[in-house]
Amino acid sequence: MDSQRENYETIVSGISKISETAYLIRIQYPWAWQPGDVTGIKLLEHEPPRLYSIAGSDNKNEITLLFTEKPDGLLTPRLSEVKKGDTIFASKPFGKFRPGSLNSWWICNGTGIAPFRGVWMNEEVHNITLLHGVRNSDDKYFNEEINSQHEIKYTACLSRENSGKDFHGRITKYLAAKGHFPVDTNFYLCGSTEMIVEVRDLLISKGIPFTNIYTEIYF
Amino acid sequence: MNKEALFGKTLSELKTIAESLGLKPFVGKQMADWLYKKDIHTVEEMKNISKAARDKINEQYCIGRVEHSNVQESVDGTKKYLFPTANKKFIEAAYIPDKDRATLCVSSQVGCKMGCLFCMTGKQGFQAQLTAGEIVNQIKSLPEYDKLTNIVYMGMGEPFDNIDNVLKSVEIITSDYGLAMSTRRVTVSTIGIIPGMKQFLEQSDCHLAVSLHTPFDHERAQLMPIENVYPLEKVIQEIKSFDFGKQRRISFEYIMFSGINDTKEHVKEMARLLNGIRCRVNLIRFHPIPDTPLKGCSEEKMIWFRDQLTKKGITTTIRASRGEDIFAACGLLSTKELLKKQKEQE
Repeated sequence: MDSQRENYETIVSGISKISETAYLIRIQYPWAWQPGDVTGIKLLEHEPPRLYSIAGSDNKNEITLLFTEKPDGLLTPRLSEVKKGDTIFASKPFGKFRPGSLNSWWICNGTGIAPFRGVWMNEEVHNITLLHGVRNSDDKYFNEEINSQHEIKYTACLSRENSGKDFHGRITKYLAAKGHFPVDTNFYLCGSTEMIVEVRDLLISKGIPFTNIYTEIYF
Repeated sequence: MNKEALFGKTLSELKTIAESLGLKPFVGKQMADWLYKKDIHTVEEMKNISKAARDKINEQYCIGRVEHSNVQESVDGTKKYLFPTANKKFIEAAYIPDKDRATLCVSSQVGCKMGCLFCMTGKQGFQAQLTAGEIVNQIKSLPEYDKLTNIVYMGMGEPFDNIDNVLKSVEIITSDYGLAMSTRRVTVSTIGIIPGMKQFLEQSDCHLAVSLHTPFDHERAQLMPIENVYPLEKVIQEIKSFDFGKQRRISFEYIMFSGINDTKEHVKEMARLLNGIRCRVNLIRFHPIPDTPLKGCSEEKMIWFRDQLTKKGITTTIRASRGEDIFAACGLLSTKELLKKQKEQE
């Protein structure tokens, strides 16, 4: 068996609820990882793991994962119930999505922001445009952290709330209204299939070569 | 009360249902005969099961067969059938007659999560998993069912993202109690979801096809986002570690895009990657989809690429293009129907 995909017992270091449905869970993690890597998580030995992007690390030998509780989900209703000190299973890190940290656009929806947090926590970033599509301002995960990052120009696109401060509408509406895009810039997209396919088509229609678009879909 | 469909249940599930209704297990076998060997649409038609037993079955179950709602026919004889599914969605099945064989290309999901750059189905996003019944229904409810010789899971969706239902459907298609087709006549195609692929290889004897499209990982990641999670290199490693025996076939699908994956470097890397695997490469013409940045290769380029791979010892064929005038590329017809429905609801 591919050792990267084997699952190992690990301990939950902490879990916190950060919005109505979103949680940050910290787990002990002895392996070196790169921003953009994912890890397989499960609670029982004989169930299939679910994959999560590593959302940075707040302490040495730990990683942080961001997830939203889906009432009919296979894992998240149980994952949201775990407590500090509980044992769960995690795989070694793997994956090849490598968001650029310089002169790049990061476009994500929902928990798709996770791999980008891995970048800004671990690498020096410069001239980043971050577009985050969410339903309400409650879902602007890591808002304060992002605002302290002066090299990240952040726009939240709120589809179900007109906050007065953020863009009201979906990411695609924001991008469609935008006239010009730098064609020599790389675009990194992370999130749902629907968002990625629509944004990719839109960027291509605005002259961005598809070779400048990198995607990570939450399968 | 919504009745549960019997169509799509395995023999063992049908026996369990019979027992749960207080009937003898052999009633499960009788139900399987009616469902898969005959052509019925109501429980009442199961004439060798007693009236009392039929009434018990009818209280909780229905047959669950669904007829197609639309069909388009190409000048070359290819037919694309549209089947409605639960929640008013649509799936496509393409019937492709060719000399002494007739192939049906079936769907395994409504929409798809994989988001491949060249695929129309991905543009409607993921809508739902198909049940085993909905997969087998595309075959059994086909007007040309009696002429079918081959089944390929190459329609809408990624089969190994719906592995449990796909394996159940494969069991029904290939079992003596079911449609009794040879496992050598069934091919399941994947973009390389490794856990599902391993399960399929271990639990089925059907052929496997892998969508390759370029041997270079950075290019593949831009065409197929799955590459970031399940890299081709690991997919090939899994395939090399599996004993396919003499009868079971592995093939690689390769859609040819002009200026993208058609160079001699691609030939060399393909030869390196596939070295040691007894396989076939199928070169496929690209059916352009709306707003795509990709273009298909010329006939000359495809022949050149085939000949180069053949010289390297890789059995390579150019797949005949079928149904171009009816947009046989999967997803076009159902996406049109989906958009029509959405417009009606707005």
